[in-house]
Amino acid sequence: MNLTAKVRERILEAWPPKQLLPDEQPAYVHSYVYFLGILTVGSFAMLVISGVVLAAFGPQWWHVSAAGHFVNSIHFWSVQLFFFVMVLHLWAQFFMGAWRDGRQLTWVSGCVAFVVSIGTAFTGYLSQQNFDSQWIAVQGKDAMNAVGIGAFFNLLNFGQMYGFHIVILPAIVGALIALHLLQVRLRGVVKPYPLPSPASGQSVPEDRS
Amino acid sequence: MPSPTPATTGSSRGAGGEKYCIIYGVEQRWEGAATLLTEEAFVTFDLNSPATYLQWGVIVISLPNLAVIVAMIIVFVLAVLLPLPGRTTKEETDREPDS
Repeated sequence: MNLTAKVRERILEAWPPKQLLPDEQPAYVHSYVYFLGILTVGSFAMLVISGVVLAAFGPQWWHVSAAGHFVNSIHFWSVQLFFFVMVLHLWAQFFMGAWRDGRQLTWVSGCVAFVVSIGTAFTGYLSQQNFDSQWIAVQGKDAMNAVGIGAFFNLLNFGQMYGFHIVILPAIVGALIALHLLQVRLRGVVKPYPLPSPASGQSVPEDRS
Repeated sequence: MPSPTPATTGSSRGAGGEKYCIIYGVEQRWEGAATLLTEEAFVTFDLNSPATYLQWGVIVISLPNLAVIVAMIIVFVLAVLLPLPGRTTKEETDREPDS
């Protein structure tokens, strides 16, 4: 068996196609709560698409033209939706104990993606090229200096912040989301907590079929 | 251009019915899509004015931020409580982790 065949076998063994693209889900997944995760992914896709258009045409376009204003607004409201549904997804998975039964990496990858997303949004506000972004940069630079990273992460340097916003941080967020989704597919969705039995006081699995 | 009335809420209407708004301290004629809204909605959703802040002791929060938090709680409760139409395709409830 040559190297290509070995890699193929390892991939199929680690990520079986039936688990990566399942056509059935457990009965307890039949709830609106499970829409929150895919809504987060959908708004992230909108962010990437509108961000690519904004990056292609540049700040002057998004500030002065009607089409630029429109795409800029799509980008802005997509990030509002992204954080709105991502935080709701976080609440839901916290109350479900989504780290149980070997799903630690699923939980941790989601939390790290959330933290990196905050940095991505912050550099986005610094990349607006308006008075708001100048104000935020001047106010925020002292915090960066206080924690000792001001020399490497200079909020007053538009080129650096723009590079972080459109390349480095989105790539990290995208990779973390991909890892998160992969873990969800491989481990499955966590089972609900068992409900306590009113008669015996013991916990029994809930029948939600 | 007719002289607009003094703006106190970030928007105003001139003598000829034109709407004005304040953007970064400069009063200018409003020509955006918001002209389609009623006067009340125009004032309510004017995003170019400083937000109203609420304070309870050491807790300070802007009205827009509070509105978003309340909306998040409402959507979360509805997502948990509202039944999803349609039938499930699998009755499996005992899927075990792979490790």
